[in-house]
Amino acid sequence: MDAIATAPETIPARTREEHARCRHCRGPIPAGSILDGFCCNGCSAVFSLLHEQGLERYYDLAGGGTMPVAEPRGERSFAWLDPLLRRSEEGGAEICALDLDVQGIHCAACVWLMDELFRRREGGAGLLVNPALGKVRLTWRRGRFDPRAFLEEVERFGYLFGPSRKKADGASRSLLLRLGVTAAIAMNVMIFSVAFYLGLGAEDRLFRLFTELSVWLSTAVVVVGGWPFFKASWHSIKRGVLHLDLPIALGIVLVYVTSLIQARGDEALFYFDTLNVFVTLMLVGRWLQQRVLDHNRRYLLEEAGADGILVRRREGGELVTVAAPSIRKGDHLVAAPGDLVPVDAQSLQAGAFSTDWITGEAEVREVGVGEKVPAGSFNAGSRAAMLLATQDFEESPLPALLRTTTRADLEHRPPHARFWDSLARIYVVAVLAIAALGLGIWWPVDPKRALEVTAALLVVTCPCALGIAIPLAHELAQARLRRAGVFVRRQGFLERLPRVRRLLFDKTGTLTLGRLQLVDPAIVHSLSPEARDAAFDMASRSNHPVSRCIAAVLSRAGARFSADAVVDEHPGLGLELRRDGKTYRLGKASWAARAGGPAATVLSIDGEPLATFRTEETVRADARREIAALERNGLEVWLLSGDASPRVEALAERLGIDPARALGELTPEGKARIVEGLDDHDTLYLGDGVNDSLAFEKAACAGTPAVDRPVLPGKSDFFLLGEGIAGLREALETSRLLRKVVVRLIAVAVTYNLLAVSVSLAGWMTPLRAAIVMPLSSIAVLLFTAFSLDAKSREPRRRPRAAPAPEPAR
Amino acid sequence: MSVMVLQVFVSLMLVLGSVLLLAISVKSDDHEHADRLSLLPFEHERKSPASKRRKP
Repeated sequence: MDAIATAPETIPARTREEHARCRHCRGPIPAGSILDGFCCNGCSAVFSLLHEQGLERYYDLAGGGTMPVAEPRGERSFAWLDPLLRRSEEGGAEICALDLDVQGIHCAACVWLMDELFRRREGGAGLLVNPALGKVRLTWRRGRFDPRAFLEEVERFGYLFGPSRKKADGASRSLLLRLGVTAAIAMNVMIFSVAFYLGLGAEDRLFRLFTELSVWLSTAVVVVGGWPFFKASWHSIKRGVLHLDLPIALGIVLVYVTSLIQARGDEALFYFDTLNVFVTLMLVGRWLQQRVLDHNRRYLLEEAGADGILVRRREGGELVTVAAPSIRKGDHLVAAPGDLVPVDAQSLQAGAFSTDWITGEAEVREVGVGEKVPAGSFNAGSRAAMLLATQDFEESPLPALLRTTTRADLEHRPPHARFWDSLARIYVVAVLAIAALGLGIWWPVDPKRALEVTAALLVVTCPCALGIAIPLAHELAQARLRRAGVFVRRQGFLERLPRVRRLLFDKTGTLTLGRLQLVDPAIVHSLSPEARDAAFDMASRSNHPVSRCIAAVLSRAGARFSADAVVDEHPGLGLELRRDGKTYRLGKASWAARAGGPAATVLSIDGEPLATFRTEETVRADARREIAALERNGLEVWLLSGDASPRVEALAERLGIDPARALGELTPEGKARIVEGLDDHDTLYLGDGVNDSLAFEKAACAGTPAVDRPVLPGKSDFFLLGEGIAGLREALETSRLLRKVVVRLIAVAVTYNLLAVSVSLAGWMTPLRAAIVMPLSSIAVLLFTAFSLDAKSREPRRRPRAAPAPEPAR
Repeated sequence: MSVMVLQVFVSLMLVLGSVLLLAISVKSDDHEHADRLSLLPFEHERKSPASKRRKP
């Protein structure tokens, strides 16, 4: 009876859980998503592909650690691969080798997947994947393996390849080595200290040996482990600012020197064990901080700015791949599908180009012979396009937009740093004042005792909470954000984020998905099965965004594909199919239908219109909800776009953004001016195109969802994966929570220090008591941090709280 | 006495050895993913692609 009564309670709960999580990445599904069981199209496609190819084992190996997959935007340029392949196959060696960077690799399952796909092809000699660095080394037998086909196949699973540019970060490696040396020595020094605590006295012959060893090993720890803190402090003093490393460096030096003085006596009144543990913990904190950022940075391909953009140029009878900066006016260029056009050019044949990256226009432009193709366009057609460069690369707007490091990056001092500066200053002054006070109070009584008290004071005031607990708090906050699809790339971003009051969004590719959807998808059901099949045969053979959108809807409606259908593509007009003596056309109304019609895509039979397909941009599923929730939280939301004003206003209305804050037809400079005017160290800009590049530099924080396009990921403070923008609100909330935790940690540290200083001033602190109290206080703050930011007890939101009803489907 | 000195010497040599191994691992860039690679299956996936399986 009980079982029957409880069943309806438990089963639906489990079913809801199944549906709330993406079947591929197990991430939260954006509220209002039309995809069944997936967070984005990328995940859905990869899930199908893995099952289709019998690679389900991927999920067993990933163990729930899969990440959302960026949706591929049609063809991707492989212009960078040609010179690398040529170089690899130069010479007569039987085995060719190629080193590449890979984006999107994150676990052993990714390594297995690549290895499995490689193994299924003949002629491959070896594949070595380094998931830590995100690099692969591919070797194959000359003439028996097609590396390009292999790379294209792997990219279908959501990975991106690029030239080998990633290098192991020297600072991170050095930090790890220093940590290894310090931790190993610290453990030995602690063992020697146990002997002292158990009563090893000056009369024992081992006393001198252990003291000497403690001195020399601690010297090594101070030199090796303390070096990063000394270096950072020295640089900060030279610049005239106080860095947070200064109190740490000061603590290390003072405790070391006082212990060294104490070690000359006949009593074991030194703090070498505490010093060693302190240095080790500080290094752990620093390494944790560095590790997460490195990990997030390595997830993406490395940016090489303008030099990284390669173009195919005709030189005599040959096609040569060159770097974009070498393009000159009059050069004949060939842009393959997916290739970027780096300069203004004249089209030598009809084609289709997507300009959303440079102008923010969502629609693909049909370009006729002799017409202009603007710099920053991508070839969106299915064929290579012949172009004539009409300017040098230096004259093009791209070099300014592709700039990766700015003076602002070097000189701009973020406001959050001021807080740490003043904290560091107060800390340094307080520690020195307290040490002087201890010395002053005890010197008249007993100079030897005064030195002991001073040493104890310096030991107990070491900034453990700042050095270990705060980095741990950052690590936990970032782990939580990764689960919500937000990947932090820059230090200081989470400290700047709580100040954000204005959110500025680009339109195309940011709030919209850069693809189209039918305004009335039900229209396909009004077609006869023959007309549906004919339309599907035409639409599925074209790469045009409208065709892709119609084909997807027809496919869901059950339209059948005929492999033997012959479809003619008329550039700039549409598609034509002859079947059973009838002529079907899908394209411009003026061309497809005898009587013409509205500006929409028309399906006709012998000139008689059968259906009119109106399209609109696909808005991110949770955009409306999230924007409403952000505004309710007191944030100002702006929409800045290079697209036509009416489209921008229409989208603003659809998403509930104040029309006064929706600005269209903006140039990259115009966007940057607006951001500069609004910014009071409180703006966050989310964009995806190169036209957002200048605005990125002016905003306090900047992020992008476009990890598959060049330039912007390299300039971002963070990037988003998945199809929703809920991660943004999660990031804002987490950053506020992190700030609260940090403030509480500082409060705990101050309280602990006040108590410890009082005990030390009273002369009750001994090395043994310090060796117990300091690790205990460290463990306490670590537990407090872990509890406050526990990722499991505070799961990222799956559904926004108190969100309005979803936008009704049209 | 001599035993203690010997023990200390051996323990310090072990420390030196472990640090050297770490340095080698860091230098060859396998310190972060050695554990992951060790989790990979020894045997290759025996299933063939679905397309092949569907063939009669």
